[in-house]
Amino acid sequence: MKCIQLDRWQLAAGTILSLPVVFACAQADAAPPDVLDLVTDEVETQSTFVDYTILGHLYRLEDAVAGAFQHTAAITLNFHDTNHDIDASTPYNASDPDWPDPNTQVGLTWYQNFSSNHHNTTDYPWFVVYAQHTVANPSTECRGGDIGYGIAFTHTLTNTPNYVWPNAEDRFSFVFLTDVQVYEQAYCVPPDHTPSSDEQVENIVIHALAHEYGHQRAGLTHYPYDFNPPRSTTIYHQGSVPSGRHDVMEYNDQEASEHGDPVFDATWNERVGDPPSTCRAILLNARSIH
Amino acid sequence: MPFHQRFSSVAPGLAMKGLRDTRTALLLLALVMGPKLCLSQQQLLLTADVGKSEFFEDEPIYLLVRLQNVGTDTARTYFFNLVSPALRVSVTRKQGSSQYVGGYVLDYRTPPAWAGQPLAPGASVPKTMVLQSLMGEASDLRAHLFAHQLPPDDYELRVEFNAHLQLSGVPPLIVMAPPVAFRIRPRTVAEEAEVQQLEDLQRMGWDTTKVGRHPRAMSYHPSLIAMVNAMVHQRPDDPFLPFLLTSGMYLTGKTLEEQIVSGKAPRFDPDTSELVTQLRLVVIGRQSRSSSGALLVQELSERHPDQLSFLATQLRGTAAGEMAQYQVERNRHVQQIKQPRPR
Repeated sequence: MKCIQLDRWQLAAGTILSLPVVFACAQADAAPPDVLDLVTDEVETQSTFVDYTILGHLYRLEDAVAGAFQHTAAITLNFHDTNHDIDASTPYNASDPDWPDPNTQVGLTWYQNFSSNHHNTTDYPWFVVYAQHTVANPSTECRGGDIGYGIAFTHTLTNTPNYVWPNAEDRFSFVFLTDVQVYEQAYCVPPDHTPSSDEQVENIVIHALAHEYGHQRAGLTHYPYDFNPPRSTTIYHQGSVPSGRHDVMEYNDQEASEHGDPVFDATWNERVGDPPSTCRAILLNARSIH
Repeated sequence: MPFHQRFSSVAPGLAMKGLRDTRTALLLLALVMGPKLCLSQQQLLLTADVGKSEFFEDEPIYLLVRLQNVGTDTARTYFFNLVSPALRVSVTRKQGSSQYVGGYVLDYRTPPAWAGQPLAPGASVPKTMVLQSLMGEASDLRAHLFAHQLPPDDYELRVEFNAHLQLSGVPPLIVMAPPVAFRIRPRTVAEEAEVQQLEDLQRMGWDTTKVGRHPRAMSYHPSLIAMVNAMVHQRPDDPFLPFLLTSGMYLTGKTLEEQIVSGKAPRFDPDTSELVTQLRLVVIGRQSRSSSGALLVQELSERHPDQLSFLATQLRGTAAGEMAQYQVERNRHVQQIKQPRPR
């Protein structure tokens, strides 16, 4: 199934536009195209200066992520960099630029505390932080590339489908940008592999951000491994994606590194109020949440 | 397809085809699933513990989960921790019939054909956290002790681990811990007073009221240490102590943070405070048999690895001792496989 976006609009910052965006499907039996008002998410972003310099080379990142949500559900994202020189040191230790392990009592409290202190919820309902190395990822070991690493951390009921925190104070995602670059390009590249190219690293970050924002914005679940009773595989993610592609909510190493345009599963016949059987249906239903 | 889904989708199909004899169906299922899945099921044991069966409202509930390899071969699993996408922690309310689930996820990127993390025969991985930090009604740290609240009710806690998530070449495997029942009751007058006192203290970090030339927020850490010191001497078994000696010590209200960043207030590092270390060790000794003691050891381990061997020996046979021993072995493993960072 191939979907064609007929119209796309450039947005002015800070506006919720009521311009129609029209989607149509090339599929012969598709229902008449939806006419959707474009909604705009005001997303606050912050970063350490180290991450800011990395972001300076990721020219496609924000447009690619915004494009995925706009293409799927007429949600566009206005990113607002409100601080690109976060004091990287922990408040109690000026010499420690590493970010805590969220899987500890202290670490989890730290991320909750950071979001509480730094997220300007008056102006921006959504919050993304580009963070430096987290101690959750090993920094003194490398097993020939046969390790995984924590790429991002989000406050989401990932195992309670489609739940969006009603209060903006509770919404946050941290992307461990420095670790992506280090792990993919230098640190743990297996001997028989070439390091990821700059383009591949950017693709990976694009997928990470779209994935985390999918959690935060609409409570999108992972595919296909969730624990929802009944299992999510039979209820959610029932749409399709273009041939050879994978839903961005799926963990797929190759998809993330090879494509710069994340895709969500969809039937392209969804309407607002439909059951949450596809990412697109869920995103359409979440459009009214601000 | 996860095991349970596969199970539930296969079983009705068998029934529809007229195989009504349950024993026959189970036998056929066992053959379909193959011996590898059965072996894996026997190999991993998941348990959950909250230490006791009754709590008062807003008393910290120290959840301790433990994944153990009870088999004879090395097991390989996805990342096991309390914010892993492979772990589902949920509590179901009996009266309200609603359910809370863990509200945080650390997403991982794994290489193609990833074999998983090894877990040696006999080894176990304990992880602990305060339940109200993980789940419940969302709450405001500026006003309450935890990021979430669990209202008074009877609860059942369940923990599931999708052990083979993202592992290549092995069948899906979901391991479940036996459910844990506990009750949260309303607070007594004395407990109400204690919670109120602690919440007042926590709010101090955001308090801009000037006391002399400085905002009241600057008194947060001295006030907290004084209070904890008194509690340790008067009632060392107080359930709040491990929480205050971990989260409480690191919490930095916005006003206090602004003072620190602008250089008007000194940074406070509890890990280099001799008094805080002493208080932690006293509480670990007093609460070593419970999950709260294990939590304190877990939080010590990152910046005080030198104390772990001593604690593992001294507290052998307790929850805190097990956590110390796990951290010792984990650090040893890291040292063994340590390789220089490429330049």
